[in-house]
Formats: sequence, C-alpha cells, structure tokens
Amino acid sequence: MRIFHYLRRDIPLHLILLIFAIPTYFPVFVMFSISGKDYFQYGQQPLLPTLPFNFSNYEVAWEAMAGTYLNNVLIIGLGVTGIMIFGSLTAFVLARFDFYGRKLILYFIISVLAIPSTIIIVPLFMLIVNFGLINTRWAVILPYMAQQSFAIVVLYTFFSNLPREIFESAEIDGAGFFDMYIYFGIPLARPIISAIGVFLIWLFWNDYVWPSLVLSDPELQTVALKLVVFSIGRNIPEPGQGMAASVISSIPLVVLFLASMRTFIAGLTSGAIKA
Amino acid sequence: MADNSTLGQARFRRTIHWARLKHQAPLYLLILPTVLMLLIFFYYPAIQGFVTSFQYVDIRLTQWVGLENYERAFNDKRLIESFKNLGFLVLCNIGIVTTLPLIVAVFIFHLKSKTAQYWWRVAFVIPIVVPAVASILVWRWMYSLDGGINIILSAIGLEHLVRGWLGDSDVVLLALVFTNFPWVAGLNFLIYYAGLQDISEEVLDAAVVDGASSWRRFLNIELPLLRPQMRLLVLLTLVFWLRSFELPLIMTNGGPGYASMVPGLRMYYSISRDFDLGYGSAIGTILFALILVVTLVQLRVTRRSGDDAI
Repeated sequence: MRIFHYLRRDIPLHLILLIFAIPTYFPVFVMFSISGKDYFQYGQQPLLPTLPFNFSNYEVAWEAMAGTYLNNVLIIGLGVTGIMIFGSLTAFVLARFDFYGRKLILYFIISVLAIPSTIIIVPLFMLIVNFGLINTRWAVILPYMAQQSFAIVVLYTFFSNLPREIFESAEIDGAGFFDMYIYFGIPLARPIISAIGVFLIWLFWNDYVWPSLVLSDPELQTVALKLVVFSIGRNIPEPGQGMAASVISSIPLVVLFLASMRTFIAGLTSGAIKA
Repeated sequence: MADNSTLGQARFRRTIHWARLKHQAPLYLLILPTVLMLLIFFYYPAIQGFVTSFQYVDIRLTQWVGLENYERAFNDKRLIESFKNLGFLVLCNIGIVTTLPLIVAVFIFHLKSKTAQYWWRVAFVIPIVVPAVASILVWRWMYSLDGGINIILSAIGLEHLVRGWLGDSDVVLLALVFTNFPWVAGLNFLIYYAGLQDISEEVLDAAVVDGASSWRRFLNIELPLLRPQMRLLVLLTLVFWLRSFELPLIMTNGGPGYASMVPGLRMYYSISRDFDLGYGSAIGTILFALILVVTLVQLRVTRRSGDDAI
C-alpha cells in the first residue's frame, strides 16, 4: 500500500513523464498497427488498428527476411566471439604482465577509438576489394572482429584492478598462464564480458552502412540491410508488409533485451562512450 | 676501474633483459592477433585514406593528382552546402541533447518510489531495441504524403500544413531533426541518469534539510554536477553527426536535390554511385580531421576542469 501513497504524491511527475512516453512509443504503435492491415484496410484507416489483424503480411515479410537471420548469426556470432577471445587475451596480458612496449601497445590500442569506422569506409572498401572478399561474409566479419579496442579498454581496467594476491598464490601453486586466464580471469570478468557482448550484438545488429557496400548478393544480406532493400528497394511492398518486416527485424533484440535487461542497460551505458 | 664495473653491470643487466625478453616471447604472440587486426583494419585504412585523397582512382588506373581533390572540395558548392546542412543538424541536436533527456532523467530521479523510478527508466530504454533502420523506416512513413504527420495535422484542423515532408527542400532538414521526437529514449538519457545516481545522497539530503525546493536543488546542485555528462554528450553528438549519414541515406538519399545531403553521404556515394574514390577519401580525411579537433578540444577542456564523466 505504501507504493500507492508514493504514487499519489508523485502524480504531477508521472503525468509529465507520460506526456514524454506517449510520443516515444508512437512509432512502435504505428509499426504494429499498420503491420496488421491489408491493402483495403490501409486505404480506409491508415493509422489506427483495424480488425481482423492480417497475419498474411507477416508471411510475405518472413519469406523475404528468413534467410537473413542465418547470415546475422554467422556474421555477428563470429565477429563478437573473435572480439571476446582476442580482446580478453590481450587485455589480460597487458594488465597482468610487464614487458617491453606494454605502454606503447596500450596506446596503440586506445588510439583506435579515435578512428570512427564509418570515416574510413572508402579505403576499407578498397582493401576488401583487393583481398577479393567482396560478397563474402568475411567482408563484414573481419572488420567487425577488428573492433576490439573498446572491449580491451574496459577489460584492461577490470583486470588491472583485481588484487595481485589471487594471481600470486595461483602462481605459487604452479598455475600457468592459461590456468590463470581461464580459471581466474574469465570467470571474474564474466558480467563485464556479457555486458560488452550484448552491447556489440546490438551495435552490429543495427549496422546498415557497411553491409550495404560489400554485400549485394541477396543470399548474404544481413537483417538490417534486407529490411531496407525489401521496404524501399525496387519492388515496394504493401505498407503492411513493410511494417511487418520491421517488426520481424526487431524481435531478436526484444528477446535479447528481455533475457538480459540489467546486463543490457549496463552494456549500453558503458558502450555509449564508444557508440 | 669504476667505469669497468658499471660497464659490467650494464652488460649484466642487458643479458638479464634478453633472458626476460625470451621468457616473455609467448606474451607477444598472444597479443599479435589483436595488433595485426588493428593494423590491417584501422591503421592501414586511415593512412591509405589520407594517401588516396591525393590520388585519382578508378577501375583502371590510380594517378597522383596532388591537392586537386581538396581544391575540388573547397570549390564544390554542393559539398559546401552539405557542410552547412551538417552544421544545422549538429546545432539542433546539441540543443536537444542538452535539454530533453536531462529533464526526463531528473524527473524520474525525483520520484519518491524506487520501484516507479526503475520502471520509468526501463520504459525509456526499451525503444532502443527497435533497430535504428526500422525506426528510420517508420519515420519515413510518418513524413510521407499519406503518412502519420499529415493524418494528425488533418485531424486537428491544420490541413494547410499538410505536405510531403521529405520532398520539400524547405522543411526536409527540420524533418530529419524531428525524427525520433521526443528524443528521450536511449543512451543520452541513460548517461544523465547514471550521473544523477553518482551524486552523493548526503549532498541531496543536506539540500532537503535546508529547505531547498526541487527547482533550487536542480539548478544549484544537480545541474552543475552534471556538467561533465553534458560535455561528454555534446562531444558524442558532434562526433556522431560528423561520422553518420544513415538517416539521410535511408530517408531522402540526400534529396530533394541536395537539400539534405551531408558530407558523409557524399563520401558513401563516392563508392556506391559515383566511383570517385579519391574525392571520397578527401571528404573522409576532412571529416576525420574535424573529429580529431573536436575530440582534442574536449580532452583539453576536461583536463583543465579536472572532472571526468565516466
């Protein structure tokens, strides 16, 4: 009952927040509403929901979008896994060992954060052409996998702040490098690694520009790219079908969000610096 | 003799160092993949882009042309126009990012119930899960002739304002800015909220004990303490708009004519439409230089004021 007391005291604040929330959700409402309309329903009432809800739009949209999911899983899966493996190894080595050039390598990695990946698309495109990777998934996977700096900086900070004693006692017990990395480093960093992972999945799922340059083969296109090609490409679909495709492209991120709300928010907040 | 012994020591130290280096060789191997990937996919393109900006490149030949691409850029009326468009977008978005997400974050932070705080926060985060491309497509529909904005305008009796928003060169930039209204949901809001959570309870309690109104508390405590977040968001907004062009690409293709063209989009079209890679690289280099300047200025300001947002 206390909660109602609190709520009542804050009624003006809640009302103001509601005024902000309604337009915030308006596009989502529009997307759902139109996605259920056939051509005639759309002609008569383009905005408000109409009955019956027309699921055949989703069938048409799914037919166009279905194949792209596998591409996303392969491209983002390999990209993010690569970042995690190589990035965490590098961060661990830099944080726990002292060797020649350690500082230099650290600066070398951090400086990359000042190079926005969209600014270098022209030379990167030329590079991918020269490697003969145009219209292969590697044309997207490799540049994604190279985006390690953010993950390394976050993990480096974390590993550096771990108490020295953990590792010293492990070393006395005869633990080698990989023991320390696998049995101490990774488990302790797991919450951070999943936050970074969720953030990267979100970031790559949203990427349209780079795939649109290197993946013209319809069989290889990513979800975001296919969504644009389907919605505003050569054969414009019915409005309802286009909106249904938009809904379909959002579902995996909705599921990811529901499954990991706290991690998701933590990842986005820390990732905001980079995005 | 003294010299000899120091020499001996130096040699001794060097041999130890060599031994250490050999012992550490595996560490370098572990870092090698990362270093190679950064070299190939970041450093090399960054340098190559600079070099290409002095070249003419097409399918058959690559030719050194000196400063020609830059001369062309500085005399290209359409490119200059696109920089003006970019300036307009940046200014509007800085205005947005320093006000609305901040206001909503403060309102939520002032709620008495922690549960209500949590759910409002979630409510303003959820829209992030709609992919940027999907939300741009929905907004593209909103601006169309029979789209949402015109339906609403007709419904409230403002028929004379109805138009094809993206086809009208007088309003197309405003339409781009208005996209995602009310601009609260997402990262900006989260950064402000995290900043508010960092303000110590004692300071806020002391203000309450002293009888400060919510308004005074905002103006005299929260706003000054949120200055680092605000500065960070201004930088992020600047860099974001300097490097991004997804919004005009999907909504308008830079049109009608060149009314919503931005430099980044010209660079994109140098690959996908014009095949004019030297010129595209010159635009990329100019944008890169601008981003570096903005970032360095921000670093200096932060260092001088001695506070840090994150």
